[in-house]
Amino acid sequence: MVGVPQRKWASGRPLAGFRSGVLIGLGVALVVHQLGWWVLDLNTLVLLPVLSGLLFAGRAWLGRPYR
Amino acid sequence: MRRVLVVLGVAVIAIAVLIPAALAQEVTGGCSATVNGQTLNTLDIKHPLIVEKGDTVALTGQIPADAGSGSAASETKIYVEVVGDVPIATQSGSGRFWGGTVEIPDVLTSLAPGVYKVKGSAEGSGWLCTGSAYVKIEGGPLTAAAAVGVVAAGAGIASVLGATRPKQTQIFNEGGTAGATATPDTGARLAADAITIGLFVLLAFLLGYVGPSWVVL
Repeated sequence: MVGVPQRKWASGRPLAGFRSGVLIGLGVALVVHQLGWWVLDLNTLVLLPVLSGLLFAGRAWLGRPYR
Repeated sequence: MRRVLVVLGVAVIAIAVLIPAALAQEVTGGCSATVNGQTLNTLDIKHPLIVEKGDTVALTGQIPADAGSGSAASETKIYVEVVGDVPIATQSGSGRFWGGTVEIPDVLTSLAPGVYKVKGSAEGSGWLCTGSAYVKIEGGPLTAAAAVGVVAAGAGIASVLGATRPKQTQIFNEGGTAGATATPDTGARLAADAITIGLFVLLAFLLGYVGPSWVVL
């Protein structure tokens, strides 16, 4: 479109995003276990925090959009 | 746009490879087994055995019909699954019956009640049986595990906001013309956040809610 600046993404901090994702994954695993919705096992206590860390690392790497 | 597609693609592929085949709770090795009088295949994650503080969990069954002498010795081991098998009891027996009784530790009811997968294995001369069931340990609404979980998740959510924030110099170098002020694109940012949260919920659903009934470890 004419006159609309192109959107550009400025990266954040992937390592900090990974750390945040691990914390979120661990916290959610514990809270949801206390709600009785799932068990604490390899899936919820290890895989979920690690994959959550990678997901939020990706989000941090993506960063924020600017025009 | 290319960067959005890379993050989205990697996340979807990672989630897709987590989908294994469904398996039900069962007893293997030709034995019969019950937990507190209920057959194991009825005690799945949605219908666990409910136990309270001071209760016991009794796992009992009969050895395989073709196991030979009914007077032979057997050994039963009971585990609770928490990132690997944690042994909680080993009991010896003899005759055509096998099993064991476990008292629920007070530390679980006070610190971390919830749903657990309890597994048992019994072994005798020429036979081996295994079985598992889900047990829900009742506790109070406010537990130490819940408090730790809320604090950890809260800290993670607070810090992830800072993790996505670029350094000011990066904004000018990547997001706008050098020397000019770049304008934040709030709509695109909210869309990226919503997609990330959606992927996290999907991940948690696949790994936690559906996962345990699929996986026999």
